[in-house]
Amino acid sequence: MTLLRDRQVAEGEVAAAHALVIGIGRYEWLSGGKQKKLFSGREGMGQLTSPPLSARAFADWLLDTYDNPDAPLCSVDLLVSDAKQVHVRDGKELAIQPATADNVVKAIRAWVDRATRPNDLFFFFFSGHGISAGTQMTLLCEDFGSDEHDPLEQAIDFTGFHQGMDFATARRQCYFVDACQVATATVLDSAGNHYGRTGMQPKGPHNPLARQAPVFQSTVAGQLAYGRPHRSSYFTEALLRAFEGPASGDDDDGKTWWVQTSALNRALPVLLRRMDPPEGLIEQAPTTFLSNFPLHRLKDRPQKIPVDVWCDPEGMTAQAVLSYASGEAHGARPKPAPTPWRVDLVEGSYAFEARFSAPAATYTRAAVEVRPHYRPVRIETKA
Amino acid sequence: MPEVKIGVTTGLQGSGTAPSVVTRIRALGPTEGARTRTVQIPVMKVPVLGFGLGGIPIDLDEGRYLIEAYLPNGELLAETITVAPGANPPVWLRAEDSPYEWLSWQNLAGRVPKIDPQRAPLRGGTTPVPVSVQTETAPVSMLPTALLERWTGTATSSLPMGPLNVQFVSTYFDRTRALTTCLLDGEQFQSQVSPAELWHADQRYWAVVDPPGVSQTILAALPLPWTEISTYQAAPVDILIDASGSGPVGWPVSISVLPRDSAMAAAFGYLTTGDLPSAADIMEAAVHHLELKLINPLAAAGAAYVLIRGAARTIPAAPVPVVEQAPVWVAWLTNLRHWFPAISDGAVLDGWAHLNGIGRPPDASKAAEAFVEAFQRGIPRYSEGVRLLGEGLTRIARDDASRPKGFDEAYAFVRKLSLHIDARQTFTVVRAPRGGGA
Repeated sequence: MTLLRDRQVAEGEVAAAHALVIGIGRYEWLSGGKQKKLFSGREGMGQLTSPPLSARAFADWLLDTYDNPDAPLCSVDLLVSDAKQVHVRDGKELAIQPATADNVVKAIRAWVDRATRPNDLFFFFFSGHGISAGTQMTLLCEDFGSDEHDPLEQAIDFTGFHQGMDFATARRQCYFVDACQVATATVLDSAGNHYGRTGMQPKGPHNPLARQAPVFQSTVAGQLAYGRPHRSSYFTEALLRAFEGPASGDDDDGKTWWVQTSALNRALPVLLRRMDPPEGLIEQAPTTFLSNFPLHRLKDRPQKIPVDVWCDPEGMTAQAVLSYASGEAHGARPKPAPTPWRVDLVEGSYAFEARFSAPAATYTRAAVEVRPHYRPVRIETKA
Repeated sequence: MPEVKIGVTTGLQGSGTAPSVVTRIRALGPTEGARTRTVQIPVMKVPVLGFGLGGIPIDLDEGRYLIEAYLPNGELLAETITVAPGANPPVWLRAEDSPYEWLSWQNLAGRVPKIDPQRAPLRGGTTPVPVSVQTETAPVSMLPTALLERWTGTATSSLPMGPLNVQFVSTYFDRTRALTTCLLDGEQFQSQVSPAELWHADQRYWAVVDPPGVSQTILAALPLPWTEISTYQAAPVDILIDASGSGPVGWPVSISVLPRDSAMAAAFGYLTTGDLPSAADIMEAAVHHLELKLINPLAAAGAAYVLIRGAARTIPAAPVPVVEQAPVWVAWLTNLRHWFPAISDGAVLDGWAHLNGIGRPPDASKAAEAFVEAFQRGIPRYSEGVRLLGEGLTRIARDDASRPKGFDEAYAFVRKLSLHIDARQTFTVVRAPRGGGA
């Protein structure tokens, strides 16, 4: 356990947010690991550089930016497995506990016990290797593979853990699983009924309190996660961008912008597509157990809303100089191109223009409301 | 109050059924009423003047509005309009057309993979993947037994399935994307021995695929017979076989089954991206149709899965006891179980309601009985049924007092089944090493 923040609920606060953030890049018993005898069932799994960076980026976002008066941040527990085992905050290096299975299970239980009321909000973030088959997802801890005879003892049965979390005090829970799922399910298939440790045992007795517990995942089973060497993952980057505005709405009062879980579900696929990964388009796994609730309040109007601008007919886009204007803000595509112009804009009302030189013509689409999560803008260029 | 007609249009194959999409109308200026309204707009093939003179009529105060239609495949259509006193022109939101008209329903539902052939070379073949329609030929318990033998490497016999030699209404193949679609009539089929034979509600039908070069058999549950829930006419059932290699590891082909139903196709599509709230919006609007369970119990079961998961989708001011959320559809769960034994999903849903106290006091013993009964009635038709059955049995597994006879057998099978389904699909798709049969 490494608590980057740990405070009690202050007087007047109605609830608290508690986060458990895990990023695992070092797998000692997988390919490239330091152990002499590597795990025989490692398939294509090896060392990762993105997950520790992703976990640190998410933890920093919580500490620096997260704002929710209905659930102020009271604790952030960060577990990271990499060569450094430190996290730098305010110029100081903090030693971070590694994400071994024992440590993760202890951290889960401590995290669960920190919540004291149903209105509390849990964040769970995991980045590392995962194995998925059918409805089962298992997350691999740093020491996965250390026990050749029972490898899943060093893994978390995420499916069972999520079920068991129905008995946690906090009834609002948000899960982000940014797992690199390259292995087949051979390990699971040969494991009998045990798919890893749950941390929280699923129980039969009914919990009468409704729970909201969406799970946002990076990739469908078996596909490469959006991992990049020495950078946070595509998924984490898209997630943090979504928190800047694309996943927000002002439905309550028309003034205050809140990042909401439903809007996040819509924004993430759009943002991931715009990451343009060199591997080509990769499908995001569907969100499960989605229900809508607010996560984070924006300080200002939503920023960086993805906008695509093109001409109708589409063939005209290749000849058009595309531009936008909103008050004093304006911008133009440097040169014509056949694909839609991708631009990120602040929320507001815009005019878009397509200008042609031969023959000279200008077409305008005025009063376009650019709002989260995304705005397609088609400029009609028919005479 | 001024009225505006709003419609969504895209090239959708067939003209008799218009699936609805969730659309939000947002007031952009000062307003005394609610800032946003959510309505459902039918998707039409072309702007139809005869259909209410173009789209669905919506009453709106004068002012500026943003209209956003969220398509099940994730596409967003948006228009800003100004509503004036008196008559207003209709608003048509135009969706991107599908690559082919025959893919249009699967495309709307988000099942057509987004492929860039130039960047991700396809692994599919140059001919369609053969698919046959088969039915279980032995008691329903035999298929789970045979599958379990295959998963554990102890298979000695073929799968208890028999081919029907069904002739599809149409078959199309897109070589570029390695996609094949086959269309079935929802009421009857033709075969080499029968010019017109009805699908029977008490039988279980599967699309069976043996992908070339792979030692696996893939079975997809077919929702047949299928009656469109608003017109009460038989609806075609679309089978999409995706051999592009875009699916998960271990799945050489993906099989997506979709009934061309006005409500269910859109709801199932929203679930493809995990948009449970939108799926629940569609289902709640269709509840009055679905109450006629005798007309289409499979649709009622599908709707119940959406509604049972969607029950907690709004923000509660304070946590709400689940037992108090007992809308009209809760009564279906028991009826589905007792009236339609060939659909094991009814017992799954009833067991889930017992376990979680939905519309009744929670009772783990009754839940366990229902779950074991579901297992004995065969594999759930819906993936969500497999998920709930697995979760339900897991929760009860450590509670010796609640476990009836047959529990261990059911638990062992469903745990394995949970590993061998394609969880992205609405209808259960299961894979098994290829044996001597099916």
